[in-house]
Order: sequence, then structure tokens, then C-alpha cells
Amino acid sequence: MKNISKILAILSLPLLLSACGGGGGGGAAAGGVGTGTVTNCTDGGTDYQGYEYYNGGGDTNQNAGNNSPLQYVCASSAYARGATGNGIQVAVVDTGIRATHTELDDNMVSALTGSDTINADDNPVDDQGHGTHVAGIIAAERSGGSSSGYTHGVAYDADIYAIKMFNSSGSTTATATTNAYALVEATAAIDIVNNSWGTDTDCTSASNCRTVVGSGFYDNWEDTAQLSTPKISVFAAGNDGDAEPSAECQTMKYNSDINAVSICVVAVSTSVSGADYSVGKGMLASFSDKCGSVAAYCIAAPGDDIWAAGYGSNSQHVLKSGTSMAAPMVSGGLAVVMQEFSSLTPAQVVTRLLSTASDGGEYSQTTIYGHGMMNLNAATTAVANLQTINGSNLLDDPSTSYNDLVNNSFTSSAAFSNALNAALSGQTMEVYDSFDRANFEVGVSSFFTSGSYTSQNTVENHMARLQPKTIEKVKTKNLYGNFTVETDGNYIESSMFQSAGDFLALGFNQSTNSFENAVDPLSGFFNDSNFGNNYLVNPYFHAGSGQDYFMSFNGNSSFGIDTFTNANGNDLGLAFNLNPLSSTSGDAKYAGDLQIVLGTNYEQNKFLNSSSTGAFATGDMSNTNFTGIKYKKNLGDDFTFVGSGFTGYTYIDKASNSYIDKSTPLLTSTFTLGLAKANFIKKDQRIGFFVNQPQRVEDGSLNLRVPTSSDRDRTVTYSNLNVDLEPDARQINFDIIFQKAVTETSNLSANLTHVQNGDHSNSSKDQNFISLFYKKTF
Amino acid sequence: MLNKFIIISSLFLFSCSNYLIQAEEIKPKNLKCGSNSNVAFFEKNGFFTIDNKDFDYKLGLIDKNLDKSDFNFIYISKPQSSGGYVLEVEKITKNKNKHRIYFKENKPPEGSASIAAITATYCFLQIDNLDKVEVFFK
Repeated sequence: MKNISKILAILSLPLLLSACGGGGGGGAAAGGVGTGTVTNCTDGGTDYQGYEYYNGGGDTNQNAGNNSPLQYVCASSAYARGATGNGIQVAVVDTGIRATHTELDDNMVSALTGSDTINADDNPVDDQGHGTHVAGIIAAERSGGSSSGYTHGVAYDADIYAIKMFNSSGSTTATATTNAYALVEATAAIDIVNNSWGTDTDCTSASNCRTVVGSGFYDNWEDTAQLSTPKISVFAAGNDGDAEPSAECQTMKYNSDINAVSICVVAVSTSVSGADYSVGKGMLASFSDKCGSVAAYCIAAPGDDIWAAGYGSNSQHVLKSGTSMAAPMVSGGLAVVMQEFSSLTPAQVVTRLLSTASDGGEYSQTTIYGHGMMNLNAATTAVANLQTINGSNLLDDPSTSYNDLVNNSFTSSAAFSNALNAALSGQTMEVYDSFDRANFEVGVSSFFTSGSYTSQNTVENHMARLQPKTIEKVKTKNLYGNFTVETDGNYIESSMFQSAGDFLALGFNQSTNSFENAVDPLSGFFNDSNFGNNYLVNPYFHAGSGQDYFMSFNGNSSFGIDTFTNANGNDLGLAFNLNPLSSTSGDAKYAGDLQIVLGTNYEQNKFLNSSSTGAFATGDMSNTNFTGIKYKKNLGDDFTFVGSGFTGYTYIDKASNSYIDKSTPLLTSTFTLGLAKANFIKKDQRIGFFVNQPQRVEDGSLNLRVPTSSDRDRTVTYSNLNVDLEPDARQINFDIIFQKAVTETSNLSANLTHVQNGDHSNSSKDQNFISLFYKKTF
Repeated sequence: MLNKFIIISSLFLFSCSNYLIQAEEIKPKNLKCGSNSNVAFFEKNGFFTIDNKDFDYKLGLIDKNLDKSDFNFIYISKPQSSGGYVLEVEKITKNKNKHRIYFKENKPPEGSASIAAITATYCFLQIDNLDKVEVFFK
């Protein structure tokens, strides 16, 4: 009868066990440890993958091995971004620390009063070795050396507090744990608390867990989680191979303040030599407890055969295994993330680390690995779109808006691009991950594209400007004889309507400047946009892509009016032309034209033809008031002199929330001098010489107010970046142009161009072009 | 019946006295016990006498400053899943030239917190005239 009872009991055990199971994190794959594929993260910081980096694994003499725990969490990618834990304070609540160890001494913070809570003194010396090793995993210094045995911690620039809570056998008392966390709570500087210890017991509710882990400790732990800047607590899951982790980890399920800033860590084996505990590289170590029902607050990290500082001497290193070793990997990882993103609250640091863990394949089994394997590459990169902030100081304010990076741009005019580039070089600003508003640093100049005059002088463009003799234009006389329409292919080449004496001109795709076409013998030569640089065009009327409209009243006598709008309807221009000297009177052989221009233009979301969007946007009505003079004089039958000069004041219209905060008026200038001769050597040959300075800012500045830092209270600080827009040099173009009609159907063009201080920069190399072009029309 | 009792009692007393005479309980000259999580320390566990090639190595892993002349016997237990275990020497007896060493490993108290590294307990002993050794562990 007794035997029958025994058999029944054994048979019913699986049923009982299955009935007691469940309640885990959900979504676990059916298989268990080792049934999935391990895909390692991508580790990109090659400059940081030196001897110490690879030396953290069991194969202590390898230089580029594949069992480095740092490699398995892709720490070097974070280092390459500057995230090394610098400035982050980590408390190691453990057996004490050998503070004189050469890999720890520089990162140790002076011992706190009462920091040995097991012996009730101020001297947290390690008498077991565990705490020293844990501290080394977190923050052993990076020396850059290649000596055998040296390694460094995950957050090798973090600071370490030693709080001794365990005796030499690795056990403690309720009083010691209570007092240890009281000290943590009282030490404001501590950011992260590593707890490579635990209680191998289950607990089932907040009150039950409080009893199991100790009420004094529980209350102090809860207090640290409820501080205005709470402290992050990291706990080892335990090494009993259980389906559920330690009581401290289970406590996280029942207290929302605690679980917001706490993580439970299971251990993965990455060891080549720790065969006792390895079930395959990257798999859960055979000793490790699983995440179980704590999966939502649980993550995996290497914890088998970890090589780190030993307490036996100041240079000793030893191998240790356990979730004790995995927990400091995560504490170090948190320090790295916390340093990298000063805008994140401690809870957000935790969420980011958990959310970015590698969770595919094997790691998709949440009741084993929780969120998966820690991945510091992913944790220090953008989770979602990076965005600029709209000028607000508050990251989470409902009125704060953001722009995706692609929607922020500034394309500058070459009139000041050189100065702008110089001012922005090396300047950085913050942008924010839409996932959690983690702050990323980017170069301010990354949003800016430089306009360039010299880019127009590429060989290709130069050749393109050497147009052949155009085909015969079609001229269609209006029935009334007053208007002509000239077309070239599909384009209206000249005025749509043109009165006799150029009194009225309405146009499409047409320059407003008829001035230089008015006088023989070199009509058209000075304003051949295909051949020269449109030297005499009003620089403030920015022609677009051929979609511009104009209207011009130009009597060539005493006054005229030019108006301008581009096809987008965004820009408007108005100029009054005074013509005190006109070629229409007097002897054409010595005729001259003088035009004085006064005008204004308005550019929508632009200034000086510099367009911008998003955080760098300008307002609807940036305004330039300009004046100019154009003069042309025939010097006998063949020679013609031209000259023009323009100057203007541009007032930048500030857009709300723009990083272009304020500006002074921009004084700009342009000038051209030219001399041309018809019948050069032979008839049908002409030559011209031009000296030109493209539009340049002579004076003026703007102030960029860009976000440069942010704090854990979710506030943003802006910095002013004053940009003097006057370039450091003056670009001068020299052109010699020669044209020859060879036959009625063929012509020859030659051009010699010299560009000095291209884009108004004294660092630009001079450019020289010689172009020859011949065309025959059949 | 009485004779039988006398004979049995005599045999019992004789055996006890014989034991008491031959098995002398001794105290170690030096004793150091503790726990350690160093994998290299407990990978090979059990007992090591001074003539063992690993003796100095094991000693050095605990403390390089330990003088090996202070010890001639090491016992390392099988590793446990956590710290908190305490190894103690219950007694050492010597019978002729044979030492019997009785170790007892105490578990951490139920529900107490312990460090979460794979840990082994150990004792280093100095026993005079150590020759043959038999180890008992519970």
C-alpha cells in the first residue's frame, strides 16, 4: 500500500509541476536553452578593440579572440561614440574592493563613512575577492597596454564606490544589507548600484517579498527608487539553474517604483574554457537562473569565465563565473548609456538598455533571457528618428515640437558660405531620438550646404557655357506690327510682348535686364549668360530655374520700372531705373547709357537666395534694399566699355522657433568692369575683357542659438553661436572672351578664365580655364 | 547469560580502549579557512599536500604573501552556486602515521543573501608529521 502511494505520488508530480508553472513574461519559444540561433551584435569600434578589450574572456592570452565578453555586448561601438561611463558613479555593494589594484585605483572614490556595513567601520577592504572582481568588470581602467592578462571594464571611465556588505565567506546580515542601502540612499552622487548577490527564495507579493529580502533593505531600496533622481539597482539572478530568479529579482514584479529603475541579470556563457557551464557560446550558462516571471525587467549578459581584477595583489587577475559577473556587465552598460545620453532619466536609461537588447533567435525566449542579450551598439544609437527640437527648453512639454533631421537644411549663398563654414567648423548641437528624446550630438555644419561660385567654374560647366552660334530664331510679327515673339525651340527666348522703343516688356523665362542689349556694336555680348557670367544682371533679382516672370517698363530715356516674381510666387522684386544718359539720343558711335537702380526685394523663407527649412528656417519676408549703377559707353566704332556695381542691405526675417535667432543687416556688394572690341584684327571677330567680383557679404552677422546640452530633468540648454558672415577674402574673376564667325554656318569661341580666391576664400586654389569651341550647323 | 554479558562488555571496552589509545585527536598548527570564487582555484578540487605540484599555485591564488612553510595541507570543496558556505575542520585524528581530517561545510542560513558567484570553500592547514591522510567531508 505504501509502495502504491509512492508510485502515485511520483506519477502525479509532473501534473503538479505543470499546474504550478506559467505566469512568465509571455512569448517564450517552446524550445529552451540552446534551441535557437545566436546572432551576435555588430561590433564596430575597431579602434577600441585592442588587447585589453579581447582579454576579458577565458582565453587570457589572445589578442583577437572570440570569447571576449566586451565583444559579445559590442562595447567598442559605444566607445567609438565617446561613451565610456565617464562621470557616472557606480556603487559596488559587495565584499569590499581592493582599492589599490592598479586597474581600479584611479577610478575609486574615497571610502564613505560607514561603508563597511558588515563590520560597522569605514574601511571596505575586500577579504573575499568577489567585490574586487565585480568592480573590475564594471570599471577597470583602460591603459591601452598589451601586456598579457590586462583587461578593462565595460565602463572603464566610471567611478566606483565600495560598500562592503559581505564577510569573507560571502554571507551577510539583515542589518548589513539595510545599512548598505541606507548609505546608497544618502549618497546623492551614486547613479547605479551593482548587487552581485541575492536570496535563493521565491516570493509572491510585495509584502511577502519585503519579508523575504528583509524589510529594512526593502524599504531603503524602495526609497532609492523614489528619489527625485532615483538610483538604478542591478541584481544578479542567481546560480541555481532555477526557472525563477532570486527573491530580489522577483521583488521587481510587485513594486512599480522599484521596477522602473531595476534590472535582473541572467548569465550567458561566452567561454571557450568554461566547459562546465557552457552549453554553447552565447547560450544561457548552465548554472544561471532564468528570467522567468521577471522577464519584463530582465536581461542577459556574459557571466561565465570572466577575467577581471583579483584581490590577491595589486596586479592580480582571476576568472570567475556566475550571475555575479553578468550583473556588473549590465551595470557598466548602464553607465555607458547614462553617460552618452545626459537627457535621459534613470528610468529611461533602463528602458533604453532593455529595449535595445538583441532579442532574435535564441534570445527571443523571454522567460529565459528576458529582453535578450545586452547590446551596447544598439543602446547608443538611435532607436527611432532623430529630430531637432523647436527651440523649447522642455523635452517633454506638450507644446514642444520636433522636426525629422531631413527636414532641417540650410543652403547658403556663396556670398558668405566660406565665412559660415569657418564659423561652424567643429561646432556641435544636439538632436533627439523620437523614441525617448535621448540626446545625440551632431555637427551643426551637417545641416548646411554651401553655395559655390567656383562650382560653376568646373570644366563641365565652363564647356557648357561655350555655346555655339544659335540656330536662326523664329520671329513672328504681330499683325499690328508692334509686338514680336521670339522663340528658340520650345522656349520663349525674348520678350513675349515688346513695344517699340522697349517701352513695355512683359516676359517669361527672361532676364529683366535689357540695358546691355541696347547699344551697338556689341549688343548681347555683355549679357550672354551662356558665354560669360551674366555680369551685368541685377544680383538681387535671383533668377530661378527658368520659371520666372518679369515686367519691365523701360523707356531707355529717363526712367523705368522692373518687377520680378518667380514662378513659385514666393519672391517679389521691384526696381526703379533712372536713366539720366541714354543711347537713344546723340551719336550712336559715342552713345552711352547710364542707369541708376534703386529697389527692394522680398524673399520668402530665404535671404540672399539662401534657402532653409526646419530649425534653420527664416521668415516669410526677408528683405533686401539695394542700389546699383550700370554704365555703358561706346568708344568709337569698335570699343565698348561697361561697368556696374551693386550694393544692398539684407534684413533677415526671423522665423518663430528658428535656430537663426537674430542677425545684423548684411551689407553686400558686386561689381563688374569690362571692355570689348568688335572687328578685332578681322571683321566678324570680337574680344572682351572682364573683371568681376561676385556678390559678397561685406559686413553682417547672424546668431545661431542651438541646443547644446540637456539634463536628466529633461531640460535643454541652448548656446549662442555668433557667425560673422564676412568671408576672409574676395573672389575676383578675370575673363578674356574671343568670338569669331568662321562662316555663315560655323563659329569659333575661345575663353580664358582666371578665378582668384574662389568663393571668397583665401584658402581656395586659383582656377584657370582655357576653352575652345567650334560649331558648324548643317 | 551473565557470562555472555561479561564477554561482550569486555570486548566492547577493549575495542574502545584500543581505539582511544591508538587514535589521537590533534589540533592543526596553522589553520586558514575561507571561500573563493576563482575558477582556477576550484577547477581541481579535493585535497592537496605540500608535495603536490598544484600546492603552491593554489596557495598563491588566495594570497601571494602566504608562506608555504606555514601550511602543508589544502582542502578545496566542490564549488557551490553561491557564497555563504563555511568550511570548518571538525576534528583531526592521528592513528599511527595516518591522519583523518573531518571537514564540515555549513550552508548559508535559509533565506539569507549571498554573493552570486560560483564559489568553493577551502581550508589550509599545517599539521605536524603529516604522512598519510584520509579526508571526511559532510
